[in-house]
Amino acid sequence: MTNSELRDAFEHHSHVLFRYAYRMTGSGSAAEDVVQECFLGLLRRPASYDPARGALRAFLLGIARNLILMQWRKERTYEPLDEDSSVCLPLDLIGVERSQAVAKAVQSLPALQREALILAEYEEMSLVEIVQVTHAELAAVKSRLHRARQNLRRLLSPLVESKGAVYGTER
Amino acid sequence: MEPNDNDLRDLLKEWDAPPFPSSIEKRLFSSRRSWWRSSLPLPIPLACCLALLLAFLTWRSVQPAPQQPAQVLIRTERVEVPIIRERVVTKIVYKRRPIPSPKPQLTFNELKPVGELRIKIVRHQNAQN
Repeated sequence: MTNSELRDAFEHHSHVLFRYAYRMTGSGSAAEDVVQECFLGLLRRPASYDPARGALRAFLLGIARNLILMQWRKERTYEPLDEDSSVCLPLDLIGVERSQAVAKAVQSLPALQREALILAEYEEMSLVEIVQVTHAELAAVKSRLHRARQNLRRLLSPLVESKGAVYGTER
Repeated sequence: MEPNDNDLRDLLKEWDAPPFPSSIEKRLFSSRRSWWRSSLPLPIPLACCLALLLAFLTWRSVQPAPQQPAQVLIRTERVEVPIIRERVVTKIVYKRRPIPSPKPQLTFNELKPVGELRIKIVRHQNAQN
């Protein structure tokens, strides 16, 4: 891969990767490392990307996902990364700013639900694209998204008093 | 009351990711420097050893060389020396052999008969022993 091709890929996809990594890890520096590793991986093994198998964005997000999950497994050796832990414990959102409350709620989701939700809601990816990134079945992605939304509705219910009105603050 | 899908979507949008740091670009593309501008990570003990070795070699090269004894001038000359070469001549020499003397003829000129004849009888058995 030439320098200009790498720069091109960087300009087009680095922001998406950074946002995804930041929302998954909750850390700016960790997200920076992930983005750098993604592009270095592309640079070292350009042949690993096959345009016939999907867009470059999905490929890079797949690398980022693997890096994040690898780190997650390293930090939480005894915590299973499965679908069973689908119900989140309630959060204490009193005195927390709305954006922080949302961040807290999203980050409290199980990793697989969180990534599906981030890709769907924040990156506005279709289900098929999410399947390409996560290498999961379509039904599994749908199920993760459904449970993530359910969990978030429950966790964030204190922020909504009624439709259009927000609890505790004025919009 | 739980938020519906649209409320939830609006709520989620309130969490913004921080602005994209430009340091990533610097970090990434500075790592693609040419080989003569790149650095090589070395363990400190090894780097110290190399520095000491370099200092020692520099000091040695600066030191004046020890005085050597006067050099002996070796000159090679060609001298012609006469060589006497012996010649080996092979000849066949015939040597005269002494002629064997003829056998003396037996004569009875000096034969004298004995004065007294003594006969001694020797037995056949003793003779065998």
